[in-house]
Amino acid sequence: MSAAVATRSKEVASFRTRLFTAIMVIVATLTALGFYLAQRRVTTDAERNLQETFQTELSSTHKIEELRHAALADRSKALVAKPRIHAAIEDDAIDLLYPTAKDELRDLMEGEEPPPEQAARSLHARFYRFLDDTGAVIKPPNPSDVGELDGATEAQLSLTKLPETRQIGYIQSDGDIHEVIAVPIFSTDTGELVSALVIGFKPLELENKNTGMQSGIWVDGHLHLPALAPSAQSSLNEKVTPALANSDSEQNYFRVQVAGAPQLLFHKRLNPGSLFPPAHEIFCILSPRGRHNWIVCAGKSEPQARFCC
Amino acid sequence: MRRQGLLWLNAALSVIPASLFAGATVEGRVELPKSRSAPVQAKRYEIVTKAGVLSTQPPLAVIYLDGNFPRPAALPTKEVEQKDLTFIPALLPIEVGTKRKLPNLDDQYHNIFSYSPAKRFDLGRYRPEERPIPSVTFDKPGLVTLRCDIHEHMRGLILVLKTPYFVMTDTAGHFRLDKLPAGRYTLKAWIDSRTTREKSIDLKDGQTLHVDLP
Repeated sequence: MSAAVATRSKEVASFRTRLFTAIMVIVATLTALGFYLAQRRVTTDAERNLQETFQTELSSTHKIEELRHAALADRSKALVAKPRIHAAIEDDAIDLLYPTAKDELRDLMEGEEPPPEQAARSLHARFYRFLDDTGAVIKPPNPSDVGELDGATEAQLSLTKLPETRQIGYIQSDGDIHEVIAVPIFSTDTGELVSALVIGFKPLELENKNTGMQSGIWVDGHLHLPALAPSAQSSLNEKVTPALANSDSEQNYFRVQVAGAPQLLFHKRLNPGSLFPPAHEIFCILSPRGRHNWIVCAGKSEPQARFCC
Repeated sequence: MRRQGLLWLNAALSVIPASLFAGATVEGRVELPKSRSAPVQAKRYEIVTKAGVLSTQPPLAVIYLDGNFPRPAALPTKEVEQKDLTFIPALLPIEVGTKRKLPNLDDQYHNIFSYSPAKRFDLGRYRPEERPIPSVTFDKPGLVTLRCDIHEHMRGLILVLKTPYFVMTDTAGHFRLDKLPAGRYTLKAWIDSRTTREKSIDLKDGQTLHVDLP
């Protein structure tokens, strides 16, 4: 009798153990599933928030850029309509082209480069050059008058042909980048395309102190993102270059591995259809040092490093 | 006594250049490009450009005798007005060394300049009451394009010639050049900035030669 009771008691205990184990397994599984789903949702939400932030910033930046480009276009159009510039090109007086332009573009070239917060409203030019009828740069007699450029940088201003419409481009020079606008010059005598004026400016850099979003420019295999240390730029550039080289969309985002962690990076083609090399605007979220940012870059929820893109 | 008077007359006539009594005449017609619009009564022309060629509208030609002629001691000063934002006349042939005044008859500033190889100048901005009237001496043959730095559409042409013998055709292309010296010359017709027709001619005193330049 006692043996039967003992056996029964053992069976009950075993059943309880199995039941408890099963319950624990189920609870653990459900909990893990819950955590997984919650994390996935957090990730998705964070990614969506990031994209929304990106879109908002992008929209705001583009409005500023459009305004600036419109102002630059107006100014450039007025410059290339100047009778003296036309006279120099059309009346076989190329030797007078740059001396004439020096007067006509004086207001653009004078003064110092504005601080970043005033850059959007400034039309201060860094340099200008004219292109001949083949699209090659017409060498200025006195480079210091027109903004000095080294040979390699100046060569980037040449185009395979003269542009029939305004072109936006970005060229590199000694770790810096220039935004250039090329405006066609049509002969007032013949209506033919005879030259182009290329003016170089400091590109507009986005910096939103609230979100930490920064913009940079990638062109011709090089990333220019001044908010990052040169080594970080170089590291990021290694990931960005192949991704952009294989991207055929004008605007997108993709993940890159930085410091072993997957990160989100947004890009937008700055000069679609331009005769200048394709350039992309790169948007990153830079986390202030020591701040535990809410930004989750593709699931990474620990405090971010100096940059998180 | 009568004989002595005839001798004096003969001596007096011999010191007067023969060209005052004689001289050749050339007349004819130049085939002008077709006008793009109906001719107007007012003798005002505009400079038009087509495929890089500057010409007048309605078309006109400048006929001139090409050769080596002595330069006169003094040349008359000519005027090209700026009126109603145009140059009047729009095309003016002149002899090398001619001084040309450019009075402003508009009620606003003009700034006439030229970058042409034959004459580069810049008169700066000036108002109608500017005195003395800005002027330029054209001392090199060639075509000079006048422009205004303030009014980009304004164009004027000055054809600076090495000869005192020139005339402009009428709108039908007819011309007449008289008091020409005898000799072998080339008669040229400037049609536009890229077209000049020419024909060799042999002139004799008192002769009227008919030459067409098709």
